[in-house]
Amino acid sequence: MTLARLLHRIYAASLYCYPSEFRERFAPEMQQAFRDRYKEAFREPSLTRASRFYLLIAQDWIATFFTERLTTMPRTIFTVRRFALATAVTLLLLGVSTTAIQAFVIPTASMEGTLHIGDHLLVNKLARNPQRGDLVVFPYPEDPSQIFIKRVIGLPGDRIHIENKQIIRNGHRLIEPYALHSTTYIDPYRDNFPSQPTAVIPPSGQQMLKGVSGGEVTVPAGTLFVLGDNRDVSLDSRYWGFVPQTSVLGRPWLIYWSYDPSAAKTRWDRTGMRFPSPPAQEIQ
Amino acid sequence: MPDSQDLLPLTPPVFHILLALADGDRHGYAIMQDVERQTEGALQLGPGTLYGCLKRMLAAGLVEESSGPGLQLEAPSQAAPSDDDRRRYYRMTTLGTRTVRSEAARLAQALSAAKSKRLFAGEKV
Repeated sequence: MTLARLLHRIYAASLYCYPSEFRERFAPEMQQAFRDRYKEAFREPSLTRASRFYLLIAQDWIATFFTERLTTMPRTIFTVRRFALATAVTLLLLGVSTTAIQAFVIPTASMEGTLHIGDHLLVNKLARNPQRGDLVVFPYPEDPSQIFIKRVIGLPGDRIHIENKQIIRNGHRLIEPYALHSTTYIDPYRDNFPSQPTAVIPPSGQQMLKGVSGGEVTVPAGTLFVLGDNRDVSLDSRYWGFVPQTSVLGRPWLIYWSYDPSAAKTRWDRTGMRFPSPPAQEIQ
Repeated sequence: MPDSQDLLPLTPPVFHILLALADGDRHGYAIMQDVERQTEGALQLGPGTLYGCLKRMLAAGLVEESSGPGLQLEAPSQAAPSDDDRRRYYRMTTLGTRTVRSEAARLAQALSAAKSKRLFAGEKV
């Protein structure tokens, strides 16, 4: 094959980069024009003429390939209405992602029984008015950079104490289907609350214990009393006091991914799981 | 009838392609050669540029395909007959003629405005 034929083949192949409509209409003519130009450029051997020819063809190809591709794109892509719609959807999603939904991951076992380590949650940030039994997400009052998730046991005005792991709220015993006890050992503070602390209590917890009257804590206005479901290992309101209602970030909405780090596996059965508040029955 | 003013200003390739067709119907390569002559080599059209422009000019109604070189045209170049089968000829429409005239007038006015500014002291333009 001569150089001329080879170059012509390459040029013919390069025309496949143009939009099909354009190619089908003009490709034979473009090939003919290429051939004519080629003949002219190589009529006499001259390196300058040859390189000028290659440069022109390459420049032309690159420039027009983009132009033709762009102009044959469906016009609708560029309409103002589409642009406005795309902007609106983007802003909406941005707005939703910053104000309505936030993702968290569970790093500890304090909610074991309900939430496993490696559960990835979406939190509904619009649900900021939790009721008894609801799960809430909030910054840890002693270190707001840590985000905690616990269950609401007491609302403002509720009187709470614990007898041998049994919660008594406003004089009623709670039957808690969600609560998990990992040991039968009775800790004199954790399981008979409030009493003389057996662990170091941070200032916010000491503040709470100052308000104890009649062997009970009373949840102050504007705050929540929260406990972890893994009751015997959870650090919660028993240790660091009440959660300001204004600091609540929201309620968990669903698990979008659950990854078991110890088994290095995804727990597929937990994907999409919701958190209906299991009712805690009150008995006399 | 679309107004020729609507299409102004023309891009340099479109303007020179129209000028190349002013003398009669031409095929693609003849247009390229003529444009190169007109501009003394300053504007060299590659196939993509030429046919991209022709596509838009056809759509705008500035040019149309013609059956072949008119009687007034010099004989097609020394190319082999097989080459000629592939060639299509283009002709300037009435709208094309009016448009290239308007563009030339616009350029002339721009040129005289530039001249009046004494940018060319001592030079003959």
